[in-house]
Amino acid sequence: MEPTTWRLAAPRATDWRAWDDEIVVFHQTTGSTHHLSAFGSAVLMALLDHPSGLDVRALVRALESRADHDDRSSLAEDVRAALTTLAELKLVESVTA
Amino acid sequence: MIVASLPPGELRRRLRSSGLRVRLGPVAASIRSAFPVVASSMALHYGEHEVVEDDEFADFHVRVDAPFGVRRIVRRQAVFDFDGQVPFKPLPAAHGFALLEWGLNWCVSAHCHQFLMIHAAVVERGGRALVLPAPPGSGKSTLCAALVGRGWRLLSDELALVDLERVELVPIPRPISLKNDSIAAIGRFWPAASIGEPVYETVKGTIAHVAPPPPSVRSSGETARPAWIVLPQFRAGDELSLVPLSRAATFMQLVEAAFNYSVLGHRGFQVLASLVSSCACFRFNYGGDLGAAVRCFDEQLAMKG
Repeated sequence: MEPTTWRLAAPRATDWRAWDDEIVVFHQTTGSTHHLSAFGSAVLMALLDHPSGLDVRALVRALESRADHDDRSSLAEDVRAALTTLAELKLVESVTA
Repeated sequence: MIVASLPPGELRRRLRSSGLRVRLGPVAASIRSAFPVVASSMALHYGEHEVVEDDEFADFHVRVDAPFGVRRIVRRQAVFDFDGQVPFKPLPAAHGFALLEWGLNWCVSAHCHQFLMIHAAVVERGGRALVLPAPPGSGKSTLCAALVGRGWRLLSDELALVDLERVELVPIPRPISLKNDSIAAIGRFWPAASIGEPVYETVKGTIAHVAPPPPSVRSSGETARPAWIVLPQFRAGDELSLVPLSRAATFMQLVEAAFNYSVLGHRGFQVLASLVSSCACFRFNYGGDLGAAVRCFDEQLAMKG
């Protein structure tokens, strides 16, 4: 049961730069800048690639190939935790279908 | 005309009357002061700077003089006045030149939003700029002076001015401010350095200024391409190490060190990202061996070809 789709909260007001596997994100509405962990960056990048949004299951599929995430069993949990953090930063938002 | 070529007594006369106007890289300042220590220090540290004539524009009109009122009577004090504003508390009159230097830093950092401004030293060699952002006490100025003493061009000891269009470093060569033990350390390492009289018991301890080398002042119209961002940290006795730092982590350090990142908004993000993208980024620890420290950066330069 994953009725929730996640997407960028303000795609036109979000700018980012990626270096290696880390990114910094600038949120024009709040004026804040964030340095995301490699995993948080991967979640955000996946959402950047899918402007209409992804649910957790789709995000898990998109991130499964990451070599640095050995524990596949916890991947969904880690994605949810990353989404919660990104939502607190007002970078992503959930849309209930 | 440069300050050193003013006729005898003219520097003091201008400081006492309409103001001595000097070019400081991309800005001009009109400076007034009746304090002899300001006149002698201006002669020592700003001799190579271009004199701006009275009918030309000055970005900042500043004055270091005795305060009005009871403070003038109680003891000799100096206040920094900027267009009628007094942004700092008075200091002892003997600190007059240091107060002027701090005041000029403030003028630039609070007003020159045509640049992204970072609290950092900047030196250049072979057309490549090394940016040294760091908080006070990190050994930034000592390292900067050591590099300049071995031939690197001084762009600034305090203010990295990043051109918003070209993302190049704009020089604003002014005296290097040394504190406490670093004064003697640079005196030994760079015997030819022109170091002013120490000023004791300032809020930062004992300080002394090193005059910018004349070639650095003469080439203050030449911007430099950014090549390295290095966060220095001095700890007495530490082994020297130059360790790569991720660009994202470096970016966030520069956000903290920038004076006007927030003011510039999205433009600030874009310019800072371009700056970081164009540089190799490191954390640098050193423990007092200035010769080894300079060699380390000379080797980096050699590797860049």
